[in-house]
Amino acid sequence: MAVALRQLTYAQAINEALRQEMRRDPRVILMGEDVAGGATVTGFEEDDAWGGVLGVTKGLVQEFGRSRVLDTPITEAGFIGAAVGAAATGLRPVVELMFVDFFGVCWDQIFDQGAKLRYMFGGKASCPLVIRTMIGAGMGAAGQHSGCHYSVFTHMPGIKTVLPSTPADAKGLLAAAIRDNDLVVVFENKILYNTSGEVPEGEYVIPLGKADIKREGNDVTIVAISRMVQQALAAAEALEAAGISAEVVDPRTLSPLDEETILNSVAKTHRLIVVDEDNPRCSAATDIAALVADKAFSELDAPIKLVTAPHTPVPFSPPLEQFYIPSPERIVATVQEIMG
Amino acid sequence: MATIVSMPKWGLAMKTGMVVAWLKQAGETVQQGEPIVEIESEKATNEVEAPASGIMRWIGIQEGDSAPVGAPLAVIAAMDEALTDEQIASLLREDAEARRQRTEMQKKPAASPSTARPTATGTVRAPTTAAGRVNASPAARRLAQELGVDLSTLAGTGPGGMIGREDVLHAAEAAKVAQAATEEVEERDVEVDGVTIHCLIAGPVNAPHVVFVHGLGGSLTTWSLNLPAFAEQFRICALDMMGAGDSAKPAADYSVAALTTFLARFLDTLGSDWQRVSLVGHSLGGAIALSFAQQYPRRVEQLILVDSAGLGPEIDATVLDLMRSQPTLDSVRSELTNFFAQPELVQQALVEQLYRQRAQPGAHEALVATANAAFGNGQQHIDLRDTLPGLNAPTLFVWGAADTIIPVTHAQQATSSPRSRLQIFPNCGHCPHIEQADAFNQLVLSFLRE
Amino acid sequence: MTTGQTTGSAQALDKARLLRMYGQMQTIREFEERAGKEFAAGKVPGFVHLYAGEEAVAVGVCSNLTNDDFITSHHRGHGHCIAKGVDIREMVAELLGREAGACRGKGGSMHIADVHKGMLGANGIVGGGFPLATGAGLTAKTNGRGQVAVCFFGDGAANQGTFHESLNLAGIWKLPVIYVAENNGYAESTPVTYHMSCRDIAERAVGYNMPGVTVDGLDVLAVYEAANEAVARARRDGGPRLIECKTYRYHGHFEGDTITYRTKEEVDSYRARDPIQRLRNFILERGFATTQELDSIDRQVRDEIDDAWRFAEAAPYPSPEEALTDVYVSYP
Repeated sequence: MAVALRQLTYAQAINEALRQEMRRDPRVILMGEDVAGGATVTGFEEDDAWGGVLGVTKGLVQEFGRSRVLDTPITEAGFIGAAVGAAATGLRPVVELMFVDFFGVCWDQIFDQGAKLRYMFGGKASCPLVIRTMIGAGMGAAGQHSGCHYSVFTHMPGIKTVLPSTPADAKGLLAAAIRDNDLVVVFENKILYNTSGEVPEGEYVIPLGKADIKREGNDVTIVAISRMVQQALAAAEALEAAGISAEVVDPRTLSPLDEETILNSVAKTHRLIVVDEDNPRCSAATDIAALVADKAFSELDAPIKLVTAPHTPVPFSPPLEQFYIPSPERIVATVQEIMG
Repeated sequence: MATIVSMPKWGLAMKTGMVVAWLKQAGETVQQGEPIVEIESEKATNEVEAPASGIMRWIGIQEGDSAPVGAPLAVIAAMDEALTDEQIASLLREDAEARRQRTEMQKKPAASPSTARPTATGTVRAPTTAAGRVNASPAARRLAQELGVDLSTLAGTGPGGMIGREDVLHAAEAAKVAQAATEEVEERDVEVDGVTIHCLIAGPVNAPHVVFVHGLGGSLTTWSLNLPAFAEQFRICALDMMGAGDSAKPAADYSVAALTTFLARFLDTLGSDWQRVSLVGHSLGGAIALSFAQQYPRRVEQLILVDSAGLGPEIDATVLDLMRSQPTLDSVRSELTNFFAQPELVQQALVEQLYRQRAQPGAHEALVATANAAFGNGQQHIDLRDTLPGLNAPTLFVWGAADTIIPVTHAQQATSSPRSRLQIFPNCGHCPHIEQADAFNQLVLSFLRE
Repeated sequence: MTTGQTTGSAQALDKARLLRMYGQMQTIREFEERAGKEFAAGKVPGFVHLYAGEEAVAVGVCSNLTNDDFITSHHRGHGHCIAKGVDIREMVAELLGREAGACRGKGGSMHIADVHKGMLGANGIVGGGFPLATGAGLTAKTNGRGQVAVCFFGDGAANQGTFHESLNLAGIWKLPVIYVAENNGYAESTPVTYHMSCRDIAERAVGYNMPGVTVDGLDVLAVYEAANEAVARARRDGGPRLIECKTYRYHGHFEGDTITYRTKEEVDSYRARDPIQRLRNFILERGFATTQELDSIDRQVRDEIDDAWRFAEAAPYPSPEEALTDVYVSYP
């Protein structure tokens, strides 16, 4: 009997994870700007006008009502901070920071309150909060709506950072994040929302801190983050035609980082490229490069190369934006450069 | 002054020997040349004679045990030497170290020699990056250390010319192949126009090819002390000429001219990689080599003529008479004594080996035919002196100063040929390649490497 | 301190100013409608947030300002740009990401600026403009020549922390900043009745020791008058003020918004009170100009918009390497 393979979009997979987790645990609530939308508008008492700015949380207020799907005013410090407070006192909020670029408005609540309170209180408190946020360029949304910045979050002790690259990963990782008792930030690449993939039905979690080898290979390890996994896979196809076998490693979470999978891969291929859409200084890419240079030094047969965005904000104009985002062509050229 | 008696290498293929019996025990006095131990190798059992006089002080390998070529068998202390155990141990350690270093040197891949450039202060630096370090990846460095590859001899194929793992692996493989090639000695029987020729081939397949041609009454075994050294760096072939050694001995034309043509046919049969070779010829073999160089100038890279025939009229009649007589152990021993300035080199093993060869069916007839074709009574029929001026190939003349068979004066012919050199070995007879094997090997090897 | 409604009056208004205001409002309207059309045709990358319906606020306020005064704007900023005198061609070129754009293509719709004209930029961060305007106010006070800063913000932004912190700062330092709320009733899809804990934004001014008034944001003359008074006082005594304009946006929060959270009846009711039509009626009724003159202005505006789009569509893109420039003033 053939099993029908179910395809969901990345956005639908996230929606499904939220629904399943909210059914599973009544303490899970959603908060954010227009996560339902149309609050107090006649006819929208249990209906959403938006379901999130790009529709990711659509349909949830219908099932769970406006006491568990809370539209907030545009006050990030206020409501992100409130989510921290709620998490510390028994609820399990999933709060949306609409665009990661807005983190400046509420960074204190995240890094100085939420991330630190367990430690500062001697392990006697916890903040089981999930912050969902959109990252990524490619939509022309310009300098304040297109960044990545997960390196800043990964840098902070007390924050866990999750970056799914496929619909199946998105569902399992978000479920894991919601069940995790720490402050987890889930970075959803907005360009991936409409991409489709096989997603298992029912509840499942993908453990945090476990990388995934998206493509096996022998000549070079390409560690790619978030949507850059897709770029790396495209590059790997092109490289295969040129007789180079690339292994694509998707860390899936940056904090905690699956060091073992990365190191084992480099021990096999002896070459490392890291592809990261974030800016290059003090980034996830430099972090991973340092790890490998330290713990797999004598496995390296070539210098470690980082393919990243430039040290600039995200430009608006389409040709500039395309220049900014690491492309499969750039990845291929970089691999060929180190193959000698 | 203590002396170490080591397991000898009899022939190219010998790797180990077994001690059959100790003829002298520890504490016994021995004279130089006296047999002290019986060794069995893959091919034969022979006695090893004391290289020096003195007292047997230490025995390393017991009866029934085997040891590799070069391993210490015994230590002989000088008559008045009081040798302590520590001194023996230290002596053995030094010997082992010397042998290890020799082996290491032999394992090095034959890469282009490094050009060491002196700096302003006069110190010499190995070829490196501008910063003074070899440009090799971390993985390559670790692998090179594990495999014993010298990074400074490699060219890198990695980015920016960096030496990578693959480069190291290839070098290690090549070294293994080279070493394997050196250790793989092929003993072949080659059909040349219906005549079976017995020969030995060894050495790295891609190295320059060198062919060894023995003299009258000899066989490829005459080169036993030379072939191991040459096979490390060259592709060598030593043949038993038609009518000699273990080759066929048909009723045929055994003149130098015929044997020269035959040599060419032999090389054709071996294959296209033997189209251009260097030749080392001894005695009558030298005449054949010189004649070959005149007839096939494009097939000769370099020429080494050792106490060669064809360079003057004189030849010793006594030896020829001994060769022409029916072979006995005594006649063979007498014959051999003429060849060396140092009579102690005529070891029993050598006598027996030569006698066995001469006793083979057809061997004596072929020997006589060869001798008669080339030599009369005290006179050489062959005269190749006028070929010398036209010789293109660089030529090395080697002669023993005390050669009683072909006089050293013939060596002066060397000056007629434009690109030649002469080396005369003092206190040496007709066979410098045997009598002073190490010096001979060094001389000829460095000549070939030019 | 006064809080209360004012009605529009024509004091200190002359024909030239009225026609200028009319022309500006029409320019904004035409610009936005054209932008919406071109966006729907796929010509404009990224997001656009249209100001159509709110023209009276930008024009009414900015008619009291000079190039020496500062304004900050927000994501729905095209109206403020035009009212403050930013070149239309440069604006369209910026929407299309061309090198000739006001920001050389690097900012796009949400980040158009012209600092030389005192336009400190549209802003993608809700509430991002308050501190900037307050800082401009500090500069103005330091310069001491009577400059003012105006901060345009929406009802959604009135809840941001920066609103409260900035008004407090302006209050304690007595900075010449006029905070102009454009209360169009919705923060994205969420009505102000849900998201705001008081009825009028102007009520919050008292907490920060500054006058706050509420005006009919559909009446450009009412806005003009309130702004005129606020600006004059700010120039004189240097203190901050809050003006709340009740207004309405005809389009969604962003182009692509399904706008299910508003009824057609509601939109229609506002269209019936269209601010441009209202000014037109006023001008005609008071005899400041004829229909032909106003129509002529309409035509002129349309020509300008057409010209700007022709210009922009023919303008070249910046070369990709331009992405790497303008990060710093100085490089080693």
